[in-house]
Amino acid sequence: MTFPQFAYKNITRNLRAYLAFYLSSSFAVMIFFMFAMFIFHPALETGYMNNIAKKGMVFAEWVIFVFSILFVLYSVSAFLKTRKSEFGILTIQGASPKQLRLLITLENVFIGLASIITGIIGGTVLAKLFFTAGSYIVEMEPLELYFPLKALGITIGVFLPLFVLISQFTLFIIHSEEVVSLLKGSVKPKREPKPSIPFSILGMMFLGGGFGMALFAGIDIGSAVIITVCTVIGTYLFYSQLSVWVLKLLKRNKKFYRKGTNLLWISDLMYRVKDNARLFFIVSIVSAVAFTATGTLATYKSMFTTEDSLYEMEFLSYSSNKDENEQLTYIQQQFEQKNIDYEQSKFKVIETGQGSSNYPVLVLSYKDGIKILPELKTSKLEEGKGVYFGQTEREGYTVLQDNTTDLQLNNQQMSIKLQSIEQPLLSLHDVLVVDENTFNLLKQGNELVTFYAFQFANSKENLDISQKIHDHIVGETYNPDARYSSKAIEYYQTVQLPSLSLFIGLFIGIIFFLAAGSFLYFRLFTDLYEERKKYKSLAKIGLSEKEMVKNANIQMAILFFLPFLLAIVETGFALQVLQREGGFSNVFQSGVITILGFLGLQLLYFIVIRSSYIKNLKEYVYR
Amino acid sequence: MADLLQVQDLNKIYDGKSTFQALTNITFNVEKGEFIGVMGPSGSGKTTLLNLISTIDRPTSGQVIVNGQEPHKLKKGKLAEFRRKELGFVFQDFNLLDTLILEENIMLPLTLESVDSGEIDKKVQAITQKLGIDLILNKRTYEVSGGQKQRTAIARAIIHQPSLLLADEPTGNLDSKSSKDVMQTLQMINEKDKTTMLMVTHDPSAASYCDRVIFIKDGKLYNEVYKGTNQKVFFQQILDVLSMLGGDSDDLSTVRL
Repeated sequence: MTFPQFAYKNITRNLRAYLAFYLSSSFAVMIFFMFAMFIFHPALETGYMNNIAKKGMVFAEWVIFVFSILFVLYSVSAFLKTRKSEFGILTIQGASPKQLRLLITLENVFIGLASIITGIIGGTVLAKLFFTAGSYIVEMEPLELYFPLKALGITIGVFLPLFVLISQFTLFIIHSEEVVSLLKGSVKPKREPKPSIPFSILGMMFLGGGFGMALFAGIDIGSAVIITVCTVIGTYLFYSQLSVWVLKLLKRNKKFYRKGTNLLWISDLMYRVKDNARLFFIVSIVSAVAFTATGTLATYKSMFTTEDSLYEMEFLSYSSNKDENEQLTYIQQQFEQKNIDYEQSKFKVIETGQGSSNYPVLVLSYKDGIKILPELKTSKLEEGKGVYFGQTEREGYTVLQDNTTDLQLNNQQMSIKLQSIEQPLLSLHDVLVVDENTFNLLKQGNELVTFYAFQFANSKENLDISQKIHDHIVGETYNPDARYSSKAIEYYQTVQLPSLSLFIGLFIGIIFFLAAGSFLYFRLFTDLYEERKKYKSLAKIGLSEKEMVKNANIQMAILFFLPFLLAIVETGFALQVLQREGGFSNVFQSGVITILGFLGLQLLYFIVIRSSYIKNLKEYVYR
Repeated sequence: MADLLQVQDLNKIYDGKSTFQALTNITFNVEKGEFIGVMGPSGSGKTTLLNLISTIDRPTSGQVIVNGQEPHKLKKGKLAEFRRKELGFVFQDFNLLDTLILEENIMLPLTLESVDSGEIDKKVQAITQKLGIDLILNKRTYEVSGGQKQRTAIARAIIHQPSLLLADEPTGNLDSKSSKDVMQTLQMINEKDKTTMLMVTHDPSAASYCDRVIFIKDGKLYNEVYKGTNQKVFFQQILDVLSMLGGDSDDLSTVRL
């Protein structure tokens, strides 16, 4: 039997002991991989995703990684604790520290490789599932599954070293102990924590400062970082210090403390306050990120409503535009390259301001008006009157007072009575159709602009050429000489982009939520062994099954919902900042919906885990 | 005097790949206020017997009657109540909770009953003074010696004044000085409070504190010895029985054949 064989047999013959470690590692890898797959998805890479959003996602990926490290570290130390006596035996048999190190490293690499493979497979399956389900929810086409070379590389490149490093780290735990205590495998009881007054005050200050700044301070990058750091530190101190005070207070109330099982769960919480503080802290922060991301991105969904323009593309060229012909040819070229049959219309129109409170308007002659909208024929246009069409994109444009509009004519106003106000026509501009005489009159004092309109089929599939044309004519920001609008871009921005944001929000939310859930899960089931022993000896002195269940219920409920509560509070403040500084108007509404959704999920999760946990306890304690 | 514990025709068969009869037709009675010891070699069925009496395990056939009640006929919920009210336990490995200070460990049975806090304090004070652990009540389990832990466990076992105190190798993890302390404590409780006790032990010197010792071998009653007036004589008697039990008897019989 060679040494690697020994390590391998150790694992395969004692799978149960390794299972929790293996599963938790797989889970961490899976989450990381899914997220990486998403970030490097070609559809998002070439797509029009906002740079900031992308940076945010990369940041989120690193957050996941940091939590993965904590997670793996937590499970590996829990795992090693159960194997202490084994290391003791090996040491007595004469295994050198070097050999022990090799053994543990080998085991960790085996498990690491296995969990990387499982994690990647699991991640792929889950990602496919999520892409499909997500696209169904947000009504967009499903993101395709692709071969994620980059994501694969990063996942392996990050996790393999992690497992090797962590095994080196765990050796410190073993080396620092005597062989005797290794052999006994005893876990020394922890001292009861003493809360420190300065740290408690510091915790209050950090938390209060973070929340206070979120409420009142101006937000820039600096203060955002300060708020985040304050909240994170404050959260940790909240759990590690303030919780001790609360528990102490509960203990002092003898009537409460000595009633039924209260004594059991309060002292247990006190006993594990350090472990719990770390867990609660991680879960709170991760959940808060999940809620905020989902809540914020969900607001996009409801921000825009539009009505359709008559044309697929609109191109408006002012008289100052020297490149008009070149730009027109460019558009036509794009159509030809894609073999699109299109119909082009050209109108000479007038752009003029209307009063001071309203947007400028495009004035069309009745002749052209009929060309655009044949229905106009039915209503005879009286001289000096007009028919008004709003702009598609604008919601609730100012209703013109008294059904009149004041147009600019040389240096004076010209009032036009509106015969009717109709549904929007174009996406670039408001439109006013007037009779020939009025049109000619207006022509004298205003600039004549050329308006091209294009019609063709399959409007939603030409985002790429629309984008190209847009870049060519308008450029990055704005062209004073020409304007351009496309239904495809319009649709992308108002329907697809918000959907995509919601989708990303959901994705981040669910992933972080899963991460938080898995922390809780593994925490519960690594402690299950000790809990069972504890309840068994309590059962001998007369703890009834009902009391055990009640006690376990209380402990689990605290574990599941205390961090959730703080996460909700933190999310509230985060959303408050976003509403004030980010210009989101209905962020709270979507935030509340998000949190309710997550609360539902958490409840479901709690019920499922609780029943399996309690079943396990019952089976062991009261067969 | 009335019998507090009656064990009648108790059988326990473990079903498995190979069926094993752990106890065969065990019958004995324990009077109220009696301190009885159960001895026997490893694997003789001592612990099985204790588990059956303490209702942790169920007999295959036969009866256990404690204070007029038959616990094995009780329902699960009632059973927990029965244990809590009628039985007290002392274990070899103490079974104290690390999460609690000694005082809280002792009061645990009372808090489960939701006894009034003031009354709990009174009872804890009385009992710990009697057992000489009143000055270490605020310590945690890892801060005190084995003997102190076991006396704490005894205090927990008797704080609700059970009708039967069951002890499983209470001196098994202790040095001789602590063993003596613990046994004297048990004897004192037995004499002062008239608590009926049943103790399983390997240790002949511990057994010599009992009023009577019954011996089990291979799941059957083998012998019993009553204490006279002298503990030292009783100790010698126990040693004699143990040396007969010890394994040579079989060899002797084959020689005789």
